[in-house]
Amino acid sequence: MDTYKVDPQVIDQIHFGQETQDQKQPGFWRWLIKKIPSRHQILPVFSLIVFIVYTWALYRMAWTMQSWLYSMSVLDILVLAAYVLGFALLESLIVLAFVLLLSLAFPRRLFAQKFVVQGSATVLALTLLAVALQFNQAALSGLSITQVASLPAFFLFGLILFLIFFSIVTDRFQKIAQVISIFAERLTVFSYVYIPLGILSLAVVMIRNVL
Amino acid sequence: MKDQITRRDFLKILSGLGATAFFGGITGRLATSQENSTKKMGQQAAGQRPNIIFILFDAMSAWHLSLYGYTRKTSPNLERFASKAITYNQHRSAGLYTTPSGGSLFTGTYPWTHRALTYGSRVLPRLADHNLFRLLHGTYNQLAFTQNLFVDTLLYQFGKNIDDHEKLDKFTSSGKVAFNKVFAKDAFYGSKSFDQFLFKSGEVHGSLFLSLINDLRGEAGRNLAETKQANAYPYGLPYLPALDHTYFALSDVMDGVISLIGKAASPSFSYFHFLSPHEPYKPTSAYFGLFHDNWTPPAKPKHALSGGIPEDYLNAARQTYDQYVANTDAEFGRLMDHLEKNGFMENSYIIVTSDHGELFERGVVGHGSPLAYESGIRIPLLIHTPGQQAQQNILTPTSTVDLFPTLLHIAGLPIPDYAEGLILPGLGGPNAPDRSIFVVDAKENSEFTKIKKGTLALIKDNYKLIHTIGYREQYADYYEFYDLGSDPDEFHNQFDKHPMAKYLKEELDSKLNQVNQGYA
Repeated sequence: MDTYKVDPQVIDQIHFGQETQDQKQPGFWRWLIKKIPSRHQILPVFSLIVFIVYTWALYRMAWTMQSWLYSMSVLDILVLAAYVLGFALLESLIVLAFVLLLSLAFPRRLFAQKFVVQGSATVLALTLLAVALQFNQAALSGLSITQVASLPAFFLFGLILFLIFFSIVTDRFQKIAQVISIFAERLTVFSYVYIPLGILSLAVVMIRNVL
Repeated sequence: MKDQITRRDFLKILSGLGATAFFGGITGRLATSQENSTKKMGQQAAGQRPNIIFILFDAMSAWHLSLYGYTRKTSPNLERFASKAITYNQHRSAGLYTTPSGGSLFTGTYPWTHRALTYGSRVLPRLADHNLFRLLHGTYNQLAFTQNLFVDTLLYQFGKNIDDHEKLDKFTSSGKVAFNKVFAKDAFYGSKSFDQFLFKSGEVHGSLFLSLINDLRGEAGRNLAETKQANAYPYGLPYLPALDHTYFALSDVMDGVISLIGKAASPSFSYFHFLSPHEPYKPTSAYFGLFHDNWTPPAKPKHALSGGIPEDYLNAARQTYDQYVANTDAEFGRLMDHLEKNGFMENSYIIVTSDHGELFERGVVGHGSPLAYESGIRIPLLIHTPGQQAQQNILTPTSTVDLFPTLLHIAGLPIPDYAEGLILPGLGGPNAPDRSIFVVDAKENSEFTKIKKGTLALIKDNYKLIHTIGYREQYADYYEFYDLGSDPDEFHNQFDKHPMAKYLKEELDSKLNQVNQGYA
């Protein structure tokens, strides 16, 4: 079978170890497919990311709106919003890519197997950290080159500890896992608004810069 | 002696003549080539319009220049330039910071007319064609470079008339901005969204995640740039405010500008806007040790609208600023050497000025307050005319808005009716000591409504009226009047006492009513 044209349903079956003998894939691709979550698992996590990124952007736009209104027309502000929301879509995709990378990097039992829970928890933890740093930007200024170089290592170390800890907690307390899953799935409704808005915004930006 | 020329002699003579012609031709070609090269760089054929080189140093207060009598020797090179220039001793900015002043420079109108009032804003779209670059377009080859984002915003607004708009991060050591590359066609919105919102330095970012990674990238860039320049800048590199970690060395920027001078073919109008000595004040190590003289000017009472900065901090900041001014002046000296050496002093008008001053008094450091005292609005203006060898001093009050008609006059072009300034005295304009000069600050006022909050000043001869409106407490509607002849430091508010105060009040109030017509 041509692995590049695998039926999505087959991928789902492979995920859950239900593939038939005919559907068995060569080792590497089988490994990869098992590590990458299914689209049904990706959607709630992506929805959570989109919700957070867009809500933050809209909150900051609301905060800045008064000063914008002093010097720009409504049309100007709509164009700015297109830039901001178009970027928000790209940022959401990059954050999703990071979470998928974690799924590939970590053992399947730790991440890919419970992607919605672990992915959502990761995103929520990153959000808390990001918001804390946004309101305490002094923490990221005046750093030495050693500090700048070592921060990613500290970050990754912290992330690994968090994921292990959270995996243990959710294994023990299933309710937490359920709450997170339900929360993420509920947010998919926002995706149906935010994502098309982001696509439209990107189109506006591209048209303004190409034509 | 031979009676006849032999064939051998004839051939010798012929070869001698040929050699002379050959080498003479080469020498002649070299001389012509050099002459043409000089012409390209500086010499002008008779009848051509003169080149105009416009140099602006951001936030350079005339009060802090020894050229204008400041106690500290901060500007020996400007003094050298002034010895061959017209020096305007009572020149004032049209606004308290870059956006309104820049708008006035380019449009020849006061801020309450062009309405670029708030940080980083543009001139009203319906007035966007009222700009110097459009009027010079087609007659002059134009080049513009600025390190100031707010001025760059205006340059992009007028961009279709600028032949060569150099990027503001062209000479930085680290941290390149995105908008002028990725969104070059839509630079205003690209800048406003990315560099001034999503990734804006020093504020909560519009982007939640990627902006933090960008901050780290900027820190890494800063470290690398400062490591390279550690000897020259032991206390850190200066950077472009409100931009993404864009650090620069003053000498690099000056080298870059020197390379741009003469780039535009004659007749050329070249606009160069240096960020220094705008904050952050980061003089090089050679200047950091200057002015440790314990000198301080007389302290002035804290203003209610100031940040209440204590006097010792003001003095320390003033000292660092003076060091940075001296550093900037030294770099200007290099520029002046280049101009002299390459013939630009012979065929070009060279203008040196600033967009606004800087305050270190009454609890304020810098130019972000609504206070319109002299140190914040008196700025240098020196204009060298082609071939000028002697200094000329002008004592008449002049304004940023005067540069617009003056430049057009120099260029031999008509001056539009909307220009609110006058041709400068010394260059064909009237010497009018009792003319009215205005200063307008309305940074917290909408550009689309009446001016209801701001600071306005009227200067007439030696008299100055300041009107603060819309601020808290008594500054909701407050007047100050100073006789600058007897009280240059503006210690004594004589609004209630001086006979001239009411006349200036009537004039300023009338002007405000006039400019507010047509706005809700």
